[in-house]
Amino acid sequence: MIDIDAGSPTLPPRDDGTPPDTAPRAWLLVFEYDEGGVRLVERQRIEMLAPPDDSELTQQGRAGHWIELRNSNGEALYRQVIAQPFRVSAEVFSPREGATPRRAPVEVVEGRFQVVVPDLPAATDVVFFGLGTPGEQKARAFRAPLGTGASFGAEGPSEASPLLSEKLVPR
Amino acid sequence: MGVADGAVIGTTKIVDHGPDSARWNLVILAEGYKDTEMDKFHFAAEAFVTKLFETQPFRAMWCAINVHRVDVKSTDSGADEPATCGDGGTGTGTMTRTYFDASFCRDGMSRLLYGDMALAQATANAAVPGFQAAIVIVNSTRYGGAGGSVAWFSQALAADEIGVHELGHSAFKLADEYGGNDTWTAGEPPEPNVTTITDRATTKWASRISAATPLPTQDNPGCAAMTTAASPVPAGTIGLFAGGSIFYCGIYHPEHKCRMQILGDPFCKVCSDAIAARLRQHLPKFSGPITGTQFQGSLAAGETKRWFTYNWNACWHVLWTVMPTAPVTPGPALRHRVRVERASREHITYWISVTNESKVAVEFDGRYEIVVRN
Amino acid sequence: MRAATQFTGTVKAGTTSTWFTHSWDPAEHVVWTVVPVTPGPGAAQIEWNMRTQRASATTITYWIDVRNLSAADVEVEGRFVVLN
Repeated sequence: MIDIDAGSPTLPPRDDGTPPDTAPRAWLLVFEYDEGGVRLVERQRIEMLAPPDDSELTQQGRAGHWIELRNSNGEALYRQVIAQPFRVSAEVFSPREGATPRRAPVEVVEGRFQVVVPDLPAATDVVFFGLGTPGEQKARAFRAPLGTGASFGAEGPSEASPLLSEKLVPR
Repeated sequence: MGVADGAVIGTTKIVDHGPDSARWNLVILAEGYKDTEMDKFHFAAEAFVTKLFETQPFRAMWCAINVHRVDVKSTDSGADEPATCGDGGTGTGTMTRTYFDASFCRDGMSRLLYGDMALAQATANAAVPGFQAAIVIVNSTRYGGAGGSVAWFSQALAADEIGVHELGHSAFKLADEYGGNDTWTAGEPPEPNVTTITDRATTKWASRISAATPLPTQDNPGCAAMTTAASPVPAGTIGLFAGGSIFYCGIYHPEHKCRMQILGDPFCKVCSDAIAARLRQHLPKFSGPITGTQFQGSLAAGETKRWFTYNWNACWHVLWTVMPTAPVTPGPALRHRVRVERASREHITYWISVTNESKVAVEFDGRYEIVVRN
Repeated sequence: MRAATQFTGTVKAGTTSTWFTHSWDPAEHVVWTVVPVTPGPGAAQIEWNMRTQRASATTITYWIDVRNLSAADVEVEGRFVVLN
C-alpha cells in the first residue's frame, strides 16, 4: 500500500488559548536574606497560575517555612509552604551509586528566593513564617557533634513565627 | 568574571504544552558554554528533558510542563576549579571567565558547584516571569552541583540526578529524607514527606499505611547515622522510616528508599503524589472542540489507501473522521481505521487507512476533531 | 468538561491488551483516545478500539482494546474527555 503524505496539522494560527482578561493573575515576590533576617525586595504582578493553597499542611505542621496572604482584618486567605528558603547549609552530593547527600555549613548566609502567590482581591498583606532568622538557623544546624545528644529545637522554636510582614502594595 | 564575561543570546521554548501562564515552567540556563558550544548545551538540555520525561510522576504529568532553554554564552568554557579546597580536594587551578561565575569548591566543598544564584534567578525571570523551577547546566565533566533557588549540576555522569533531587526541594517543597544531626525535637514540619507523628491514626500519611505495617517501621540506632539494615517490610511499603530534614531521629520519611534520600532512586509514593498534586492544576483543560479538514482523498471502488499526518502535539486528544464530499447510494461508502505512532517525545503521527466499500469512486475529506488542545 | 488520563500500561510486542474501566455515568458523553508513550518513530505502533457495556441500569463499563503493531513493547496512555 502506498502511504500518502497528509502533512502537519492544518490548524488556524494558535492564539494564547486564554483570553487576556481571564489569564491567571499572581504576584511574583522576591525575598532577600542574610544572617540577620529577610526582606521583601521585589513585587511584580504577573500572569501565572500560583501553587494551590497549603493550609492543610501548615495547620498540622508548623515547624517550617511558609508564606501567608492576609486580608485587612488579619485573616489568612492563602498559605504556601516553602522548603529550605534560607541556604544555611549546602547539600553536597557524591557520584558514588547509592550515596546519600550530606549537609555542610555555608560560609556566608545570604541569598534570594522567590514565591508566586495568587493575586487575591482581598489580600492586603504578606507574612513570611520561619523558624528563626537565617543566622539562628545556621547556628542550630551545626551546633554540636553527632551522638552527643545534640537536638534541634531544644534551644530553638518548636514552631514558626512571623519573620516578615509587609503590605502587598506598598503605601 | 560575571556578566561582562558573556551574554544572554535568547530563549527557546523546547517543550510547548500551551500558554506559560497555565503550565508549570522549567527554565534551563547555560553556564560555561562558549558561543561555539551552544549545540553542546542544546544537547545537554534535551538530555535533561528526556530524563525528566522518563522519571515518574513527571511522565504521567508531562502535558502540564513547559520547558524553556536560555542560551547564555560565556567567554570561557567550564567553571572555576581552585587548585586546593578546604575539604582536601584539588582542582586544575583554572579560573574561567563565565557569565554566572560558577565554581567548584564553594563553601570549602570540592563537589559544591554553583555560581551567582541571584543572577541566575533574574535571568530565568527575564525569560519566564514567575518560573516554577530553574536549573543551570555547567559545561564541565567534573562531578558537582548545588541546590538553592536555582539548581546547578555539571555534565559529569549522573550529575543530572542532582537537578532532579533539587527540583524536589525548590519546586515541590519536599524535605530531605536523610540525617546529619542527632534528634529533631521541634514540632511537626509542614513538608509533605516528613513527620514527627508516630500515632497510627494521625500521622501525616496515615491513610497510606497498612494496619499490618509496624510503626515506627525502622529506626536509626544510636541516632548517629542512617541505618544500613535492610527494610523490615517489602520494598514499596509505606510506613515511618527514621530520618529526615537532616536529623537521624525524631522525624520520619515514608518509604525505605526515595530519591529525596538517595540520588537515582525513584521517588517514593508520597513524594510522587506530592509532585503530581502540584502539577495537576497545570494540565491542559478541555478547550475544544477544534475541527477541520486535514487532507482530501479519492478512492476507486473497493480501493484502500493510507494517509499519514505528523507533528501532532502528543498532549492533544485527536479524533478522526472521513466524510464523502458527494452523495453515494446505496449503502455505506467509507470505512476508516486509525493507527498511532509516537514519533518523538512531543509529537504523534496518525496513520489513517480509508477503504471505499461502494461500487463507485468516492472523494472525501479527512477530518480531525481535537477535544483537548493545550 | 473534564479530561484526564484514565490508565497507562505496557502492551507487549505484537499483542493486544484490554483495559476496562467501570462505574461511568451513562448520561455522560465520553470520548476515548489512546496514544503510545514510548517513542517508536517510523511506523504505526498501535491501533485501538472501544467497546461499551451497560453494566447496570446506572453504570457503564468501557472496554478499550489496544493492539501493538510493532516489534517492541509499547507503553500506552488511555485518555478520556467528558464532553458534557
